[in-house]
Amino acid sequence: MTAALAEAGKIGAFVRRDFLIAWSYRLAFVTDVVSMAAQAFVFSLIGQLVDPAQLPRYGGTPTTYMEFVAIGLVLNLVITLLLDRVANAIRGEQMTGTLESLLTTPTRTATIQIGSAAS
Amino acid sequence: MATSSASSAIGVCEVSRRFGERDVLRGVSLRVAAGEIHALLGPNGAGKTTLLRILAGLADATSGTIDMATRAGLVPSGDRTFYLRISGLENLVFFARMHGLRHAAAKRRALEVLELVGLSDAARRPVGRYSHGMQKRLSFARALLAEPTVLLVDEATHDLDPEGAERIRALTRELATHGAAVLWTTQRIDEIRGFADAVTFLHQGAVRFAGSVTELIARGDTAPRYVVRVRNGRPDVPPDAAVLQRALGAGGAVAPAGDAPGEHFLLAPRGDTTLGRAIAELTAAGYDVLSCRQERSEIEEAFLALTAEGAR
Repeated sequence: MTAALAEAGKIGAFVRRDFLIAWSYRLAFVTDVVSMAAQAFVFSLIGQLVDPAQLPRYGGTPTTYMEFVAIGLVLNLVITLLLDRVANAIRGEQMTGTLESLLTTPTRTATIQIGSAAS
Repeated sequence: MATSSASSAIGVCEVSRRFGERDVLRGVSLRVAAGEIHALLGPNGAGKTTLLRILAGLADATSGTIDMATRAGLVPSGDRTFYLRISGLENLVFFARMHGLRHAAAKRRALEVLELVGLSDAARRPVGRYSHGMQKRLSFARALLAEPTVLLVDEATHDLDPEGAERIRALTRELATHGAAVLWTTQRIDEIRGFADAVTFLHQGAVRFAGSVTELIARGDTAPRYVVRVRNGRPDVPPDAAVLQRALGAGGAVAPAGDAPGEHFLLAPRGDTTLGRAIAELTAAGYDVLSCRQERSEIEEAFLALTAEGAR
């Protein structure tokens, strides 16, 4: 249990590393954030075209178009993560030459995979 | 000199590794005691890096056994083994966390090892802006994060300037003094003199020699050749190999060193003629011997002799 917690604790290190790398490309970082905000704005505009009365209700609770979109985006993200992100992240580590250095540390392969794809 | 013993920090016994149809390692055995610097020599493709990769857990041996402390630090030969966009400190903090340290402890340890390799001033600079030598030192610092009892060093000095290479060797010596067992692969063969306690020479995946540096030198004990710089006091008539040969007689052979005529000649004393006597003969014939150096070092001679033996 302790070992599993220690492994889980390493995920934070991956997130910090990837944030610092992303932050080092300031313009790309800012445009990514702007792009996400723009996407949300576009979806909210599209949502205004949809009549809420046409949307299904769950247990009497009304839903909104944005909730549908959010579920779709999360599903898309999960599929991307499973099919693409892990492999690409590991390939990236290999290309930068850091994979072997990572593998010489007492870190489980699963942690490296999850950590590399987590951020 | 440290000697191998039953309490070796690294024990490699009959290790073989095959890639497809190719045997990269063939029954390699060696032992490295705590506090010993063990040089692993051999030409390109001899299997040195493969052996180090097996010891570091990056590759499996096809057969044979490895007995080694779990806390091993690897200094890889590659240039790009860091995240170049982030600082040396952040790189080390990340790798320290991979060794299981919490963030505060990881940062403390990272700063300690940066101090040890003399990179404290550059700690917050992106690694991409480090010089080659600095990256190598950072690589050493990373290997030290987990306070290893075994250090595996792959061609750490092959492309460093003499000052940078000496700095790395001094650091390694220091670690060995504190009890670390060091396995050091190198192509800079002359650096092992006065540095390594023992040598294993690999060629085509097999051990061709194992012993001390002195024993290795004895293996290359062929008739040495010297590069001598000679002047005859007449700038209008440069020294001539045929004239020098006549002056030396049967005491040795003289040939021009290089293609262009000049002051440098290769001198190979023969029979009982010593270098001193050969130079005395040239001096007696009216030549000034301005400098003299051995064409190749004894270790280089041994390296070439062992490689030639292995190729036969």
